[in-house]
Order: sequence, then structure tokens, then C-alpha cells
Amino acid sequence: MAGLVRATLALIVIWLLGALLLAALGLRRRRWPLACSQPGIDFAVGAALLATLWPCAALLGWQVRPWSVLALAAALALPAALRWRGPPEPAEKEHLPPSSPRTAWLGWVVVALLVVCCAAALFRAYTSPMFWDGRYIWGFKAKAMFEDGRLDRETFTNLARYRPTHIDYPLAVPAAEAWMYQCMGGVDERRAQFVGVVYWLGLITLLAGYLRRRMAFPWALGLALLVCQIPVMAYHAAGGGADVPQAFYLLAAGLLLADWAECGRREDFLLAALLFGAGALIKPEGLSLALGGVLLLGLGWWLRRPGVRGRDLACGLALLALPYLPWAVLRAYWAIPSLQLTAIYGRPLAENLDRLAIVLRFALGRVFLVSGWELAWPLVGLGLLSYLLWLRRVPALGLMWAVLAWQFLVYVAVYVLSPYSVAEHLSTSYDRVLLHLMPLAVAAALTSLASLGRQNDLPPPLDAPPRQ
Amino acid sequence: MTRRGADTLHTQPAGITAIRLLALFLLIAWALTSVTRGGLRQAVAAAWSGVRSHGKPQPGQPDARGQWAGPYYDALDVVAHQPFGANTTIAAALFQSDRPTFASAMTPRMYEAIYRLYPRRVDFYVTNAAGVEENLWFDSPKSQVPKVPPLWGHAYVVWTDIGRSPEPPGHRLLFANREARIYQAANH
Repeated sequence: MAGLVRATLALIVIWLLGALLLAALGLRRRRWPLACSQPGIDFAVGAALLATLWPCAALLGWQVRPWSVLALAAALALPAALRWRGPPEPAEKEHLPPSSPRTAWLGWVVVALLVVCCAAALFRAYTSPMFWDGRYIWGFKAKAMFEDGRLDRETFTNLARYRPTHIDYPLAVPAAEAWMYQCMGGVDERRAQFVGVVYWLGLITLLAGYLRRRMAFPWALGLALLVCQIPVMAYHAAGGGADVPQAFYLLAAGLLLADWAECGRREDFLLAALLFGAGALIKPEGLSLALGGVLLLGLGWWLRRPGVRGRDLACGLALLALPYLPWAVLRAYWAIPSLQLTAIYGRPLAENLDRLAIVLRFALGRVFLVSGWELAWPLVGLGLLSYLLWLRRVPALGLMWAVLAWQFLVYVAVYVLSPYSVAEHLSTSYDRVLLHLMPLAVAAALTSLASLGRQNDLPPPLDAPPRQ
Repeated sequence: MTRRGADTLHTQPAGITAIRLLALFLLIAWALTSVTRGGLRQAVAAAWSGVRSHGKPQPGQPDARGQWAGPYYDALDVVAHQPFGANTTIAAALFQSDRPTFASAMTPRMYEAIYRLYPRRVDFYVTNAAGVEENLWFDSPKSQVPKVPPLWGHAYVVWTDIGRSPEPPGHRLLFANREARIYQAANH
């Protein structure tokens, strides 16, 4: 029981770090339709902050001990307190679709289901082993970081011994797990898997909060739960992998980008930029997400979305680049190679184009794989069709679909250029990378479908002045 | 929505209605799939199983280490719990089937040895054609391979091929089970 309490406290400290950092930056006043959406963002930012702490300490020759994390929290508390100006103004309150009293019972049923699903996710994590990636890519680094109390150069540069652990992968998940080990006083893989469960819960609350703008509470939470309970997602929530965390950053960044396009709030722009950058600390796929973020934030600013000046754009790009910077500097300093990029770099696209058909055929097969994805992808297809037919000039939707299209095209390109057998590569990884896209894809699809026929409620297109 | 967009909307009511109906059908089918044989059903079953077992693995089920449990891994745990000095070295003499290939640079036994014994280094050996245990160094160029002691120069040797009977010079048997033996250098 003491171990569980310590593990819980460790997770709370990660949330606290993120909450304090966002408060210090003045980015925590954002109002979500459901208040429970914010802690997930806080946790994700806290985990990213932990991940930057380790390479910074390595560059300075310091160790990372529990007191240094707590000192960081204390250091952030002061600017956070100075910037605290109370809860958001009542004027910011949104007009949300009303929940019918006749369906109030449905809300309680969905909440009860959520509790059951959370219990199931925790039991799965606690009673099952980490799967391969969780153990040898992320769990190994977490154990090494905990045992050494720092990033050991040998562990991150000895290709002969540690190459299969993907030494160039970023550190957000291992850093969170190592922090849990530090709080628990020992390596405990079962409890370390709670990190994934927290991200999974964050996905549900964030998605529900976003959908609440378009539908009543029971439907918003029920659909979010339905999305996050599909077998592929539930499996990866436990097991120590990094794909559910990556999905969280992609969803959060995409939704905030859409909110900025819809409402023109500067805070949304900056927070979206921060989350695009923080996503690069989860997996290498996050780097393409960050690059997509640069392109889309720049595009939105260039098309004169309101609320953002040139100075804010510079600030946003800095927030996007800063999270990854310490790890990039350390990699350059220690000469940690980019194993993935090296593998595909220089491979001729023209000679590999015949793989494109294989990849697309495989992708199409996954759309109808009901045992893994249930009916999520057919619904996404319907939402995309709605967008293309009737909603093309809605900027918020356009940006969400653009994030998805960019990331999907990057994944397809990687498979086409992969040095491995494409069939083997697809079968071992396609579901996982598709998982990154799925929550945002469903959010975009449901928003598109909910927007059909409500032209008066829709925000203006990118090239029109914002409605006052 | 622009005028053109709004006009498009009004000229496509049948299409929109059809899409909405299809979406509603899909959502209902999805919910039913999830409840009857999909994720929600599995979640309820997992939660109920967890409550009944008080969060512990079921009898007869794999423990929390699942596929990583077994005699070889128990032997690694025995080594991991030995009191180590700073310069203690460990060797693992593996099966021929553990020899790395292009497709599989490391086998689960290698991964697990590195994982469980970290931060202590473990060097791997496989018997070559001449019947001598030679050091394995995966896919690194020979020039980058550091010098390591011969198999019996290590403080601990985890010997997996128990079909053969080694007569280690200067070592004593520390632990044995049906898949592994651990030898400890007498002077350690």
C-alpha cells in the first residue's frame, strides 16, 4: 500500500510541475467546458519539464535527485503565485449545449462506466507485464536513469550494447517512470505503467471537454470513453509504451490549434505551440508533429488569424523549440546518432514507390479491422467526407484535418522509405502509429458531423475578419 | 460560413441527412459492438477480474513479468542480488540460437540479461565451431569492440547450456536450476 501511495504522490508531483509552469507562463487561465480537461494538460507539460531536466543536468554534470525536482517545483511556485489573478472572468463563460434533465441519468451511467474503465486500466497495468517496447525502449532507460541518478554517457552512446533500446529516443516517458522509481525508492515496473494510464485518462477528459461544446455532457463523455476504450487503445494504455502519451500531445496540440482558429485567443496559440514542441519529447514521431506545428502555426498567423502579433509568433516558436533543445544539444554533444533518420536518409523515393500500394492496402485493411479499432475509422471517414463536401472553409476543422494529414503522410513516407521489409514493419508498428492519430481524428470527425447544417454557428473562414 | 458555403449547404440537404443518418447508425453500431464484444465489455471483465483477485495475477496465470519469467530469468535475479564490487564482471554463456542475426540483433535472453543486471555490465558468449566460447558483439565494427576478459575470467558466469558439463577453472557452482547454472570465481 505504501508503494501505491508513493506512486500516486509521484504522479501528483508531475501534475504539480506542469500546473506551476503553465501558471508561471500565464497559460493556465484557459477555460475548458469541462474543468477536468485541464489536469491532463498540466500532467503532460509536467512530464515534458521532467524530460528536459535530465539532459540539462547531464550537460551541467549534475545528478537528478528527488530534492532537485522538488526544488524546481518550489522555484516555479513563486512566479506562478505572482501571476495568479484568480479564476477566469465570468464573461468568458461559454454557451454550451444544454443537457436535458430527462437524460441526466445517462450522465451518471457514463460516469459509472468511466470509473469501471479506469479501474480496468489500472488493474491491467498492475497485473500485466510491460510489453516489449515498454520494457526495452522506455523501461530500460527509466531503470538506467534511476540507478545512475543521471544520464550515463555509456548507456546513451554504446551502440554495440544498447542499440536495440533506441538510444536516440527522447525521454519524457522514461523520465516520468524514473521519477516514480525515485519516489518509490526502487524499480517497480507494474506501478511505472500507471504513467500511461494517466495519459489515457487525460485523453478521455480532454476529448470529452472539447466535444462538450458541440453536444450535451452524457454524449460528450460517452463518445470520448467509447473512443479511448477501443481494444488497441486500451491495450497500449497499460504496458509502459509511449504511443498513448504521443496521442495525447497530438490531440491536445490539434484541439488548441483549432480553438485558436475558432476563438482567436492568444493563450491557445501559445499553449498549442508548447504542446507541439513537448510532443517531440515522447517519440521521434513527435519531431514531425513539431515541424507540422511550425508550419500550421505559421500558416495561421500568415492568414491573419486574430489575437496573435508578430511578437506572439516568435514567442510561440520559442515555446515550441525550447522543450526539445536540451536533448538536442546533449545528443550533439555526446554524438548520439539519429538511428531512424540514418536508416531512411538517402534512400531513393522513386525506387521504393511500389511500396506505396502495399502501405495503402494495409491501411485500408485496418479501417475495417473491427476487432482492433471497432468502428472508429469508418466514422472518421464519414467525418472527413462531410468536411470535404460542406465544411472546407471552416478554419478550425481545416487545421485539425491538416495536422492529421501531415502526420499520416509522414508515417506513409517512413514506411515507403523504410530499410526493413515493409510487410514486417507495417505489422509490428502500424497500429501503434495509427493510435497517435485516432483521438484527434475522431474529434475532427465528430466536430465535422456535429457542424453539419449549423452554418450560423460556425466561425468565419481564415480569410474573413473574425465575428465579434 | 460564406455565402457560397451556405448555398452549398442548402442545396445538399438530402446528402447531409444521409450522412447524419449514416453517422448515427455507425455510432449505435459502434456502441453495441463495444458493449457486446469490444472494449467496454473487455474493460468490465478486466475490472471484475481485478476486483475478484484483489489486483493480483490469477492462479495459474503468468505473474507480472509474464513472458519474462522462467528459470533463466530467475538465475539472472540471483546474480543481480549478489553483493557486487565496482569492478565485478559478469558473463552469460548462451545457446547457439542466441547468436545475433541481421533480422534480430538481440534475443530476449540478451535483452533480459542487460535489463536485469543494469548497471552491471554483462558480456555474452556463444560456442564457436571450434567448441570455444567466443564473445558476441552484435553489429559493431571489430575496431570498436572493447576488450573483454575470456569467459572464465569473469567474476560470475551464467551458463545456460546445461546439457554440457563445464569444468570451470577456479570457479564454484553458486546456483543451479533446470535452465541455468551460475558459477562464481573462487577468488571473488
